[in-house]
Amino acid sequence: MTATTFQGGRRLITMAGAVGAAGLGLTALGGLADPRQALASYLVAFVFWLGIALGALILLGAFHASKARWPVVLRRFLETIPLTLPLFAVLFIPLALGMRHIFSWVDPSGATGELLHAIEYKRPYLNVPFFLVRAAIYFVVWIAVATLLRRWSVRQDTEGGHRLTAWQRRLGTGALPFLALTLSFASFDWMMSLDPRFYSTMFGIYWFAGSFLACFAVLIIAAAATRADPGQFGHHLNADHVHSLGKFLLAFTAFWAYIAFSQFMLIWIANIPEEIPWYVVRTDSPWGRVGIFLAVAHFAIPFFLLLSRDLKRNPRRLAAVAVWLLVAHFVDLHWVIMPRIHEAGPHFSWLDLTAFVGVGGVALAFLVFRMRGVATMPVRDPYLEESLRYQPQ
Amino acid sequence: MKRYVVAEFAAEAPLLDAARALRADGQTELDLHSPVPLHGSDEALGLKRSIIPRIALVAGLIGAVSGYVMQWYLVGIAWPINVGGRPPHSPPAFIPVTFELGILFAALTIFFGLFKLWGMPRLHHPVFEVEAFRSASVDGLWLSTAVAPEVAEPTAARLRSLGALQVEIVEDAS
Amino acid sequence: MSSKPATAAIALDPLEPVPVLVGRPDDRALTESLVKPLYAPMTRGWKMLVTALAAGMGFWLLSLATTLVVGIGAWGNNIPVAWAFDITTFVWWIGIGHAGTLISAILLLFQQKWRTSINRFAEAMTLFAVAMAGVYPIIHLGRPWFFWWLMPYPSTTQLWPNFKSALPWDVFAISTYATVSFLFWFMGLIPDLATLRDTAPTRLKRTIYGIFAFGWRGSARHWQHYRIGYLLMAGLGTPLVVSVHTIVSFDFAISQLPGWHTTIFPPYFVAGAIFSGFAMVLTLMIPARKVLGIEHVITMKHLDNMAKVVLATGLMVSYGYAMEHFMAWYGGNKYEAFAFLNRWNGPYAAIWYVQLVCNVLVPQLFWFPSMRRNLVVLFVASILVNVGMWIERFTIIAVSLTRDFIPSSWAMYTPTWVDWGLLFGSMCTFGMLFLLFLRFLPVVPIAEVKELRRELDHHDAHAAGQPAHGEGTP
Repeated sequence: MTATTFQGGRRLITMAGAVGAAGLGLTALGGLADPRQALASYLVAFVFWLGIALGALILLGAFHASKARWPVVLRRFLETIPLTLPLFAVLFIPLALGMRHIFSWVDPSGATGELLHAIEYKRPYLNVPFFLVRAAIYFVVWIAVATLLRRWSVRQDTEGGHRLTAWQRRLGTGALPFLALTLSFASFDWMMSLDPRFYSTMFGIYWFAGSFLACFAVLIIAAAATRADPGQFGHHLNADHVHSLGKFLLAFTAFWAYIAFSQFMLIWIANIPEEIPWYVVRTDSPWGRVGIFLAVAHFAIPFFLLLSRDLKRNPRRLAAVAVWLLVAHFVDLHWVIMPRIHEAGPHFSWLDLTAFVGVGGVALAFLVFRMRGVATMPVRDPYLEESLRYQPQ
Repeated sequence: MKRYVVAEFAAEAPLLDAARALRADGQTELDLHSPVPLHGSDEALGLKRSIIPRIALVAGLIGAVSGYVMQWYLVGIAWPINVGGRPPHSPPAFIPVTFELGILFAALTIFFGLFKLWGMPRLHHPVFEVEAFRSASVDGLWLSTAVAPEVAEPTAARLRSLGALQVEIVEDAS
Repeated sequence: MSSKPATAAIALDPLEPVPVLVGRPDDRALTESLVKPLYAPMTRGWKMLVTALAAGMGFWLLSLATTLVVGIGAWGNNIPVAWAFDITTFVWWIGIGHAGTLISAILLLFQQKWRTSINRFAEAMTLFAVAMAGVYPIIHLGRPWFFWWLMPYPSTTQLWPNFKSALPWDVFAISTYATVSFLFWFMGLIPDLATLRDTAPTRLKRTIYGIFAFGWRGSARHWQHYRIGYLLMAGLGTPLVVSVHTIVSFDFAISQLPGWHTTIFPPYFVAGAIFSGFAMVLTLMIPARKVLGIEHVITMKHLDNMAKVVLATGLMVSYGYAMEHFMAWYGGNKYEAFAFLNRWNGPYAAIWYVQLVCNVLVPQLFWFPSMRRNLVVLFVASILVNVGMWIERFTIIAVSLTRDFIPSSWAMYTPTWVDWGLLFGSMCTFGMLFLLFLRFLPVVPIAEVKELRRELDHHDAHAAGQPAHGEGTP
């Protein structure tokens, strides 16, 4: 077993941290000039990167719940991703401070008609104190689960045995219902309530589907990036591990398309006045072209590419598709959030870029920082040996 | 009239070794029979990758495209009736049937394509003439090879030398 | 850790106390134990059960005949409750069918070893459930003898089905599902039919099994295509099974009726389908494995895992209820809010509470390992879940319809004896088909269990630190 305690990554932390800080700083500067645009761009970046951390936490819980053995080799990396959640709790502060700029229900003085009616009706749920309390609850649940799972896993590195595996499985399984509920309500609060008139019971699953897919994309990219480093998990993955990750990427590409299509088709075909305006803005304007782009780029192209067995077993080409999917996922969230402030059509702002790089940079730096000081794989997990020689029939 | 030489082996390793040996001898109509698929048999017999995935993909695409075009023509052009204010050509409403027909075509193609590749149904095959061959679907490991009549005896001897438990020669009556 | 002896390494894994296969029987012993029930003489119990179910089937046929002769008026349906027992039972049966495809296809793709021993059983259940389901939409047509009008064929009237409605989608979804399920099931059967051909005691049985084995001779050239074809069918079956219940949910969700139109329906219906399907597999499996003497192949491990799936999907269904209720309030649509209040305190509130107990509370038992391994609890809970899922569809379909937008058009729904006959009769017919299956076809996929045993051997060898391919050693 060549997995060692990870002490490297110093350069990556410095670089990513510097780029991230610069991005956040520029976004803040932009926010002085145009707080609405800056906060909307920041929200897209925030839910993009946070979604990956939550997707990783849910995936970790699902692996524990299903007692999966093959992913043990990559589990240490997977369980470190959600450790960035405390960072996201801090990064939530700008949103909390500037929420009146993008959440129209905070200050309904300009609202009229249906919008005003919806805001008044939903006041018991959509009000600032309750919104903040809910956000606090979400982060407490997420951070508690992420911290405990990882703590027990690291403790097993010295203690060994089966006891800690059993604990992790119990917590990982039992946490799933709570993660599902908090993730759904977070998506209602932070994205759906941007338009207080709109509602869709599917919305939580929609955010989950894209984020879960993005989480697999990140795992694949990380595996490809660390392939040459014998101390890292990427080096120990065999072709079958990569193939399995590729299959999950394919499955959740299809799952995202299924959820996105079902939500769109049901609202489009029923054509109910409360629901349809949300999609009218996103399809009957130049935003519609972005929607078609998503159907092609977020589903059709990656789906047909991923059907190839050879591609799924080739770490580098698979990673290329994963990068593509991350871009598509970003466009997806942009398409969900941005029409709130740009109803007429897509509008690119340099703040989109700075916010994306800013949140991503500091999250990456924080992730690598949290990887330091512990082994890169769960070295004494009872199933690590089995995972390393994973070879399905 | 070809002859089938049919031999039973005690374990997988000698069976696969025998197959490799006969293939090295230049035998082409070589086959193995076992109750479960064997690891390494594709390599031992030098089989190429199955074409099933490719024909299934093509059939699925044909099914999906024809399904979509059918709906477009029938309710978009031939009988454009307005129900619920949906436009005659309503892509979102056509997706479900398009999808189902893609799956249906692919599945039918796989199933019947397999039978075509297997050359089945073929209820009477010379190897069934060997009474002991019944074990091939229970626990027996068998090798069969079709050869010219004059090579049958030498092949049988070769198989015995390769460790076969029993060897029989059957005439191909077909 | 590689120095432990093999037995210790297997027995000492405290996290996997129950094996997926009891012992390591060799191929011949496995075959014999699995084909034995097919060649044994019919037992008295089996004959009595068949007779009883035949009576129930007679009731079903009588109800069907009444429907055909009298028409839909023989049912309790009315306006506004145009869909009631018929469509409820249709959705229920289709949902039950989903477990088979899930076990045989999705769990195969997930490389779950425990699916091997139960997939044939579950797939047969799928086929019979889909056959039952298919009856209801057809008899509900009013003039069922014109059912082919649903297909797009060139007719003299030059009319075509309306592809912008969910009902023609159903036709394609259900018929594709029935076809593909059958092909997949039959593909899995071919090697076993050859085994039956080669082991059957009488010439008649040998001939019949032989015809359906189509000349399978276990050829390596055939296995190569077979394996890839089987995996591909599983790959197709996975999105198919999701699409089928999705399209069934579209029947309701594309409408504007409160209680029917909500975007979460597709995944929520699929989860509910798997929920009830696994419950049905448990209901049938618990007695069948005992009677057939195959408890060494279908072990407590299988039942335990199925209980976990019931718990997981039950939680998803509960999540669906929660989202529906939250949005019924949050959406601010008065009719939608009323539809949900009506469930809690309307005229059908009693069955709503039964539904909540069966679908939300009962599965929570399966958090506890002792409950998952208690046959009585499993059996009773599985039946309750099936009851709960039938009620769920009734609540969604009929209870929503009884309270329309305009109070003047409200009406209650009361089933007639024909409705009850169609429901219970279909269960008897299903049971009858199932008994025939148990009698004439191997319940456990023999070839696949042999493969499973090889995999387990392989795994044990590794755990004991021995080389992977030990075969051929003296």
